[in-house]
Amino acid sequence: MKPSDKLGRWVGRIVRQAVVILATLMSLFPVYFMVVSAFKTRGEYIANKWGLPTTPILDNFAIAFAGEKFLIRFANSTILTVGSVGISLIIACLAAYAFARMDFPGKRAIFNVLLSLMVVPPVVMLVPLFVSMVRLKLVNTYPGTILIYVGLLLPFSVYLMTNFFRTIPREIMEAAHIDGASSFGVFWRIMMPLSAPAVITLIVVNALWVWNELLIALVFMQKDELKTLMVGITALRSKHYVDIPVTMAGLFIATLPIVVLYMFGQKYFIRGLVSGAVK
Amino acid sequence: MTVALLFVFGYPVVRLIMMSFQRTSKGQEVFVGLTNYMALFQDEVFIRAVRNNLTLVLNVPIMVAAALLLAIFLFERIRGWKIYQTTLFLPYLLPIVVVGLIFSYIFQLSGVLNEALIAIGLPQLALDWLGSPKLALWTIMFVIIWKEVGLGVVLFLARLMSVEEELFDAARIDGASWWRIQWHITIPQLSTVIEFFTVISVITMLSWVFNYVYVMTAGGPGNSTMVTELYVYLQGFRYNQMNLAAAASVLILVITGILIFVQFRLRERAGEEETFA
Amino acid sequence: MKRFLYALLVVTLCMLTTSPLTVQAAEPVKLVMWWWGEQEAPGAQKWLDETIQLYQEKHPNVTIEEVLQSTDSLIPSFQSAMAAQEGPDIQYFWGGVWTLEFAWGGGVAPIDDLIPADELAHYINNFERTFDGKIWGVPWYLSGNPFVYNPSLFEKAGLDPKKPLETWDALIDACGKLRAINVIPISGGLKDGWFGGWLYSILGRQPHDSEKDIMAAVIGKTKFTDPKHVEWWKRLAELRDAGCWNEDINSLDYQQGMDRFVQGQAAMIFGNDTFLKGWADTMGSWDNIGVMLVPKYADGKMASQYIVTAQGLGITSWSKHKQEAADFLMFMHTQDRLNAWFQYTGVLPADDRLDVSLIEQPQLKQIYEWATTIPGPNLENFIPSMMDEQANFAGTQLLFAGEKTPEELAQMTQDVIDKWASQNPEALENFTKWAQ
Repeated sequence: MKPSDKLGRWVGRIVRQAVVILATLMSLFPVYFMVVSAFKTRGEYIANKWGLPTTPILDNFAIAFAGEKFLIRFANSTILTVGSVGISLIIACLAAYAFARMDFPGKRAIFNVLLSLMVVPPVVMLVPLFVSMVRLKLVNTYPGTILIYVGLLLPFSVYLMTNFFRTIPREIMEAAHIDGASSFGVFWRIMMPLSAPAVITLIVVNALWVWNELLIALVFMQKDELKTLMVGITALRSKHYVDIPVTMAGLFIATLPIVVLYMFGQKYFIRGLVSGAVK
Repeated sequence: MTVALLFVFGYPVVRLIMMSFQRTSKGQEVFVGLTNYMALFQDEVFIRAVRNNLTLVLNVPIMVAAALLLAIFLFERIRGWKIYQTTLFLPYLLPIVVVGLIFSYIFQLSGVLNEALIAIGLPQLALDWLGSPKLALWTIMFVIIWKEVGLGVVLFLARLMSVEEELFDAARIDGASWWRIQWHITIPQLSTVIEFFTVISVITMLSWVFNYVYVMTAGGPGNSTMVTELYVYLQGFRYNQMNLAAAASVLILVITGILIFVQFRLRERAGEEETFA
Repeated sequence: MKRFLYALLVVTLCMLTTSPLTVQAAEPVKLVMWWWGEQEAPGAQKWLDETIQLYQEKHPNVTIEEVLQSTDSLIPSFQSAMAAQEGPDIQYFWGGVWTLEFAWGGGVAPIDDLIPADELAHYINNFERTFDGKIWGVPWYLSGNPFVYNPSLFEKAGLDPKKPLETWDALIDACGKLRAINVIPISGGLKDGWFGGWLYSILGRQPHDSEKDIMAAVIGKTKFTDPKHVEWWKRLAELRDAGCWNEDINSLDYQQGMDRFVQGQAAMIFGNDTFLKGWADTMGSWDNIGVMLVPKYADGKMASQYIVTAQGLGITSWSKHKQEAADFLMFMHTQDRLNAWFQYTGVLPADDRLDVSLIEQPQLKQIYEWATTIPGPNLENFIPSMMDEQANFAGTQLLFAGEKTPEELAQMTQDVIDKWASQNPEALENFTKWAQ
């Protein structure tokens, strides 16, 4: 091995580490900023914006918590997220199976329409949706809001699952059919286990989308006891505008559950993404 | 599925199309042909919004490339890659409202970033990141990339880890250069995931940027960060012009529809996958 | 099932035995109220809860459900409700165009026949809700714009804390003196836009006599490029060039700019009187707060007025219980409730029956006097919101970014108005009618 090669590899390694470390620092800094600010007094925040707090305080959390129904909001967000992600996942898998593996008239046209619906900004639908929701008496209800989320998530979900199902070789299916499995059997026993990576990706992307959604939650879940966590945080911002550390404490509380969930679930998440992958 | 789709899209889309050709006059909806559309084409702010969305879309390749690069580096098992993987994904988990608020504080003229730049002797770089019409859109774009790139890294990395090692080993034994390996093995192996990530990024830039803009700049300064979603929101909910909002929505539908169609046509032509015959 | 049968029996008996009148009196009424205001008048929620409870005790057949809207959802929710012609019975509205646009859209019922004239006579500032000879809502509380200063910082800079600034030159001069002791003369934040609209209302008014002068330009009788309409952009640029503002005005939200004043870093702020009590609480005392009228650069009649608007409530056109809703609104205006409102929020109710002796702070006394003797309109309530947003919000940001000159901004305003007129002929018609 030539010395220049060795040098080159060494430089390469340094460059790689540097790039990755830089990117990591960038992803961490805002989080760090939020966490340290949450423990500072207002005075210290102004004097020392980016250092660690000299004497960490917890008062900000008490203030942010006071009068805020974090638990109820958290429960509301969870109900909406689990409901809409679950339902859309089931429907999307079945529909995608049909698109990928069955023939029916107008399949291609329907699929194309579905694809273009993927990019419809939710804000566009707000008023007409509200009108139909009022007629059906579904404003301020979980099922109504979940129905909207399911509808909005479906095009993208069907697209993702259809694409994935198509990468599963037909031979596997045909072999199963020959062995006497029903259509649903093939779907349930063969397609689904192979699709773990796609399903997991879909759950993560969709769940975060619903969890973070603001506009629909604002307009369709207006009663105080129905408001979601994101709506609550936005209100918190205007309530404690002068007190950035308190706002940060509130943001911190709101962010924590999902980060903790990820920390615990990460292993399964990554394993699932890697496991079922087919070529 | 049909019920949910018809409910959420079917009726609203039909109604939007109807509204876009009408105007309210004395409490009645009156048919006015293309008037609303003509008004939009003459509205600088709308044109600006469309242009801004397209600018954002044009930066999807940067996002994909960044995710790809990071994923490859991590895949090469550099020291501590598992920790990096965890932290790089973290931004994707944070609520946009939270991210937007934190970055508004960081990017203030007298915010943390500029304080740091001044401290290390680079005061000329301490710019008004969100307060200058020239910079604000780029700042927002940075934040979007910052938040979304982690998803790409994790997806790419997971896919790479399920590729058989022998493929890479064989190439290395043949003495293929690093670039050749990436070009001939990594990218083809990743093609489906790259496509997926590209699609989701394009959607993000076209129709899910409302929250970022709303929290960080509200479309300002001087409309420089106006995007189509915000335009529709303002026309409909601030200026009380539902019919124009509807016309703008229909135009957005058409534009995005075309973009998506083109993308899938390109893919079909590339013949990477089996398609409907 | 048993209970149902029982209920059925009761209902039948009632129908057989009682006269229609008593059935009507016992009929349960449910009123839904969508409101906003806790955000600018903290304590409003507590007051409203109490008011509803008191009212329900007096009227056992009425239940009132209040939904506090967030700033972001107030208008979208109501607009959606209007499209569906179903929703709240009582809705919160800002003054002027913010009420009338919904009246024009068919979402609001006039209250002339629901509330007697002698009651209406007590309401302050309801001219904003008058259109076509009808009144489209009821004012709730007053929101005015004093020029607020910090007397101790004034003293440090060698300015007289007792004698506020009266002339424009005095203001420019004060900026220099405050800069010299390293204090931000005036703080503000334009990033979220709203403050640009305030600046327009505060500065843009001075060369004009009344809101009709502004509306004349809106409906095309005069132009926003006329010298009187260009002037305020020039004056704002003058303040900018004299170093009167915080440099980061473009990257702060209004509330963050306000924070500079509350923290004692800035000496003056164009404030809102509903905030004063909160500021005094945060700053620890009323001593650091002085109020003045905006120094004059021109001598239109509006230049010497105190800007005040009444935030209010309206009854929706689809409400099935309009009279009951009006009755509740009148209950909100009973003296006991007015006094309680002031005590809970420190904000002035829009009614002359408030027990004035409750006002203790000299600053608030001063404001009450201005609001009742020299009230002037808030101009943002008399222009299309598109002009506010695309000309005032965007324009002030561009001015401070150094992107556009006052003349260019005046032209931009005119362009926005032309666009608005062509996009929305119906609104133009209504404005024209309103401007007379």
